[in-house]
Formats: sequence, C-alpha cells, structure tokens
Amino acid sequence: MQSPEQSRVYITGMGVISGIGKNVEENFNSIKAGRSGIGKIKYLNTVHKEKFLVSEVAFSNEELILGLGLDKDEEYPRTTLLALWAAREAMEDAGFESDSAIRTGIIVGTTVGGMDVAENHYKQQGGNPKFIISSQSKGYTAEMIAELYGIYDFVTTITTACSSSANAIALGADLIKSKRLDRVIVGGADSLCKYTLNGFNTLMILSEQPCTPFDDNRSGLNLGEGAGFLVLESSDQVRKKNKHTYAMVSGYANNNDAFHQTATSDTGEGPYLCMKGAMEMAGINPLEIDYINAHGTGTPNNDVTESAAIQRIFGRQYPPFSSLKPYIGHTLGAAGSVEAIFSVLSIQNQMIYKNLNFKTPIHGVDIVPVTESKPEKVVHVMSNSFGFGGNDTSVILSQTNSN
Amino acid sequence: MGIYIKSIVAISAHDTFECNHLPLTLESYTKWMKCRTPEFKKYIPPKVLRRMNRFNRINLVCAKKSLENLGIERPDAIITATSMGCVDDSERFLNQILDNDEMLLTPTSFIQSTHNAVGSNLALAYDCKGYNVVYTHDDSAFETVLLDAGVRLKSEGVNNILIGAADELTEENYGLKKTVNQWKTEQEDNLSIKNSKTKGTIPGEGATFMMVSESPENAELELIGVEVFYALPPEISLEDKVLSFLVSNGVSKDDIDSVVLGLNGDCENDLSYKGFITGFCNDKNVLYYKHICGNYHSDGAFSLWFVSKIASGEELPQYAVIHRADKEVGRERGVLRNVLLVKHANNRNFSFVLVKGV
Repeated sequence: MQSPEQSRVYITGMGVISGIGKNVEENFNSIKAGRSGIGKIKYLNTVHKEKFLVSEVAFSNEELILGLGLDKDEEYPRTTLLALWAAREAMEDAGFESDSAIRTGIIVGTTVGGMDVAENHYKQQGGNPKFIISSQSKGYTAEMIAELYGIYDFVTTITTACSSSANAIALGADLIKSKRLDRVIVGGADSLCKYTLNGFNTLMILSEQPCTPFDDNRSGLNLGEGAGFLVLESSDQVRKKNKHTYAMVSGYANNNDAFHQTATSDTGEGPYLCMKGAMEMAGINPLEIDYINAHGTGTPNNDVTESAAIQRIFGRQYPPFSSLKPYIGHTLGAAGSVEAIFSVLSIQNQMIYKNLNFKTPIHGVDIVPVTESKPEKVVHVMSNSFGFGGNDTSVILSQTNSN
Repeated sequence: MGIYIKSIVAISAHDTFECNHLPLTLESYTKWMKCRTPEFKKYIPPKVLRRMNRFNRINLVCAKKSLENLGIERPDAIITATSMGCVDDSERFLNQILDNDEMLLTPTSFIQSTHNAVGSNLALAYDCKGYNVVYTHDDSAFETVLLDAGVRLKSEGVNNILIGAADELTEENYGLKKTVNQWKTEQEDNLSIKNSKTKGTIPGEGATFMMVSESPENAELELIGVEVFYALPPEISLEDKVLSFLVSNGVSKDDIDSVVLGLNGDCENDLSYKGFITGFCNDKNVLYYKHICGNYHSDGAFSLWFVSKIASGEELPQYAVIHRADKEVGRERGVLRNVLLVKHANNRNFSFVLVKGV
C-alpha cells in the first residue's frame, strides 16, 4: 500500500497556445488584462468569414512550421502544429530529458484532428491522397510528438468531444498512480476547420456576437482553436530530480449524461456526477473548492444545466466561478487541458478570473459568475469539461507545498 | 483478483455473429472484407434503428447481444475503441461541405460522424451514466481499452464494464487508400496473406463487444496482462520485450502454449515477426487471424473472439495455423493455458495481450 504522498501526481511543466497568446505567460497576461481573443476570421478559408466570430491563433501554418523548425515542404494538420507548439513549451518548462529508464507517455485529446488538411485536398485539383490519409488518423499528432522526442513507451489518443483533453489528464494521472508510467505529457489540440464550423452551424449554436456565458441573453458559442499540454510526474520523479511543481492533479471523474446526443439533461446529471466524483477522489468537500473554471460555452443549454448542477452540489454557498470561453472561444478537444492550465495559473497567482461579457443573471437561476478578476486565496480549483454525447469530465487541481 | 472477459460478440466478414463459431472454411476476398451485418430489425426497435447509421448499428447489436447473454441490464462503464470512426458519415458531411460550398447542410451526418458517437450512443441506449471513454489511437486503441478497463475495475461500484471496438470501411475510403498502394492488387486474396511476398494488406471492418469483470462466472477468458507501447527502443528486440512482459506478469516462457500474431500480409510489416516466430515461438502454436476479419486498426478485439472459440474447445482450424507445436500443448484437462497476442503496425503501436482459457 502506498502512502497518499506517494500516489500524488504533480504538474511540472505547462505549455499553451490560443487566440490570446503563444505561451503560458502571454495567455495569463491577456486574461489578467481582460483581453479577449475573439474576433473576425483571418486564416480559416470559409464562406462564413463575415458571419461568425472565432478565436484564432495569430499565426499562419507557414509561420508555425517555421517556428517549429519543421520541413516546409510537408503539409501538417494545423491541429498537429498547435500541439507541437504547446507540447514543446511544456516539455522545456519541465526540463524534459530523454531517458529510457523513465517510463514516459504521451496522451492527446482531439476531436477533428487533421480535418483541415482533408478539406484542402479531398477531391480537389492537385489534392494529395497521402496528406488526406494521414489527416484521417486521429493518432497522427500524438505519434508526431512521440517521434520528435523519442518517446517509445506509451502513446495514445482520446476522442470524447469537448472533454477529450480533460480525459487525457485523467488517464495520465491514473497511469502514474498505477505505476505504469513515471511521467506523461497530456493535453489536447484542435484547430478551426470548415468541418466543425459548419457542423456547429447546423446545430444552430454558434453566436454571431462575442459569447456571453451565464448571461440571460446568451446566444451561443464562439469556436476557438489552440492546444494545451501539461507534464505530469510521479512523486518519486519529483523527489529524485528535485523538480519544481506547479500544482497537483488531485481529483477527476468521468460520467456520461446519457440523455441526448447534443444536449445536457435539465438537472445536469452528468455534470453533477463528475463534479461530485472529482471531489470524492480529491477527498475534499464542496466548501473547499475555491474557484470553478466552468465549461460555460454560452449556449442556452449548457449554461443553464451547468448552473443547475453547480447549485445541486454547492447550494447557496457556491464558490466563485467563471467561464474563460469569452477569452479563447470553445477550443473543443483542447478545452480541458488549456483550461486546466488556466486553473493552475489561478492557484499559482492566487487570483480568480472575470467572466467577460456577463451582464444579466439567467432568469430563474440565482447564481452569478465572477465579474472582476481579483486576488483570492486559491487552494483547490475545479475545471469542468462537458461534451457532446454526454461525455462529461471534471478535474481538480490543487496547491502543493512548493507553491 | 483476476480480470475476466465474457460474452464476446463479433461481426465480421464471416458469419461470426449469428453462428458464433469459428468458420469451418474461409471465404476468399480479393478486395476488401465487408462485414456481414445481421438483420438489424430483429434486434433493434425501428424507432432507434432509424436514427442510427450502419456503423452505430453494428456496435449496438454486438453490445446488446453481449449484455443479453449475461442477463446484464446496464453496464457500469463503457469503454470503446475506433480509429476511423463513422467513415461513411464523415465522408458524407465533408462532401456536402465541399460540394455545396458550405451551404444547405443538415446536422445528422455531423452528429453521427463524431468518433465518440460510438460510446455515447451505447450510454444512451443503456442509460449508463458511468465512465465513458473512446480511444482513437491507430492500431493500439482497443488494447488501450483493455488497459483502461483494468484500471476502472478497481473503482468502487464498477463491476461490469462493456468494452468493444469497431471500424468501418467504405468504397470511397478503399478507393482513396488504393491510390497510395495501401492494399494488395486484386491478384491476391485474404487466404494467401501468410506467405505473401508483396506489400499491402486486404482491409476489413467489423465490430466486437464483450464484458469484463472481476467475477469468473461465465468467463470465456482470463486477462492476465496487457502492455501497450509505441515502438521498440533501438537496442531491444521483440523477443526481449515479450520476455520482460511475461516476467512482470509472473508467467514463464514455457507457460505460453500459443501465440497469436497480427500478421497482416504486408511483407515488410510481417518481416518483423520472422525472428520471433523461429525464436520465441519455436515450440508453440503460432496462429493468425487477420484473414478472417480483414486488416483494420481495431481488429485486436476480434482476435479475442477468435481465441475465445479455441479456448472453449473448438478445434484449432488449420487455416489459422502458421506453425503447429511439435508436442501436444494446451488443453490440459480440456483447458487452454496461456495465449499471447502480439501485434503492431509497421513497427509502431505495439500491443501484448496475455489471456488464459478458463
């Protein structure tokens, strides 16, 4: 039987790229300054360019390829480029060194993978079938990271819609706790593409305005793109290498709402169960949660059902909560890991974040998100990721002694 | 406590679903091994059927039969694998976008095309609010499901987990991959992949679902160990890696009766098994299965169905034998001892699965 200390899972590195910055520092500064990355479409080639607002990463594929030092004659999915970018920052941050004695894994969450490449080549003049085929592999991104960094041990990919990378964090933590791995790079990436933009458009949940999560007049979501990666390490590794730790992954749970393919049940059953399960694993009670990084997409359905689930668990003494989607949009498969990083930054900087664009509480729901970013004592943060197909996951990040 | 696999149900290019025995002889396929679908309306109510594409139907009927065989109304968790997802609906939606210049689209194909539709449709069908994850990683997605299921069974309240894997193929996808010579030319068939001297495979598709639990009741196989790894480090051979896997599971080389290989007929891919067959496997039965179901990313689930049939006492069919052990191994008192499944695709995404007949 291992002691609780021995089974701890520490975060030793983080990397992120999104519509509000190309690294962790830029992202945090944007949030602190209340700066949104939502605006007109610049790079995505779509007929809906003038209609919908998105949060795009401010680099073209060519610039990303150049920045990553990759072969410029190859064509890479934008999802892969974003992933490589954020994974590199996370691994450098953690002082990653190749060492065959350290069992290392990589787990990537993604929804569309390389669909943008398929769109450019599928049945197009001069289209290259080789690129289409590799773009259809969801595992392409994880394998690319494995090849670049010589990771031989464990490589996998998870696709559970908008909770994909939250589940990547959870699996990574489980594999460390069960002693299968010593360290694991976990995260997710998704780029904008026609497929998702049009798919969400057919569901009529895209907003033509900047999204307003938890507001009574919310009109839908803005899509975003990005990638976020964390390096998780066992307590043995941290002790042996005397590593700096940002926080620990103290709890997580995954449940299915089992209600509808694209909508959450009125009572928020799936969200309720996973928030509750995550606290049970962390061994904390609702009063100990200092901040909730809500899923808060800005769709009519999500925000009212997430609010209902929060009320069921926390009652009147609900903790401060906010959605960061008005800054970075809904980054789908990347949302869970990007927002987990923002949650760790909340602990590191002892501050909670403003829910941008909020004005009017949802009629009949008497909970209100954080309206000003401010210093606050933050020990435990809950980060929610709820997806289509009822795939719901909640992760709890907690302060460590070295914070 | 052991991990037991029960009620494995498979849809493949042969009649494995209704009949549920090893085929006596195999059909020849030169192109791709389209799976034989049952009459869905015998199993699924019309209301549900209408909302589901073929891919989700094959998953649901397999899952349904697997649960019903054991009289389980609701699994405690659902873990699935698919590498290609709903190929048909993905193509449909992509074609609509490109053909109609992003106009006049309907949500049906988009919703059904998402990879996690596999797991979420099953959660809906069985009102299963427990753990639900879909692995989509190339050739090791299903074996990662097995790994995850082992972790999940340690959780409180998780007794019966529905697991499975499925991949589908379409004419369009077959045609696309044909242009880059992923498949054999139609001069060779699935029955000749064992000694093929050419590159390429005969692709297939299918769905296989089963239950895993810690109770041995009704078990078909006991899962002794699983290992999933990306690649062999330069200085380590396949045999070395297998031996250390066996040690970590407390099993010796002599305890292994039979080895099932993921031989897929691509001469370069299969070359990697050569030294392993003549070395490690020389006193063991060496079997293969991809000519029964066709080559697809998540066919590892089907290989467990194949092994379960032999474990249940069905005669080892000659068509599945690469090498027969000299001495009579296995089936001590009618029980098949340890079977090791070894698989990779082009020396990437390796998996070892060690099972035992019960």
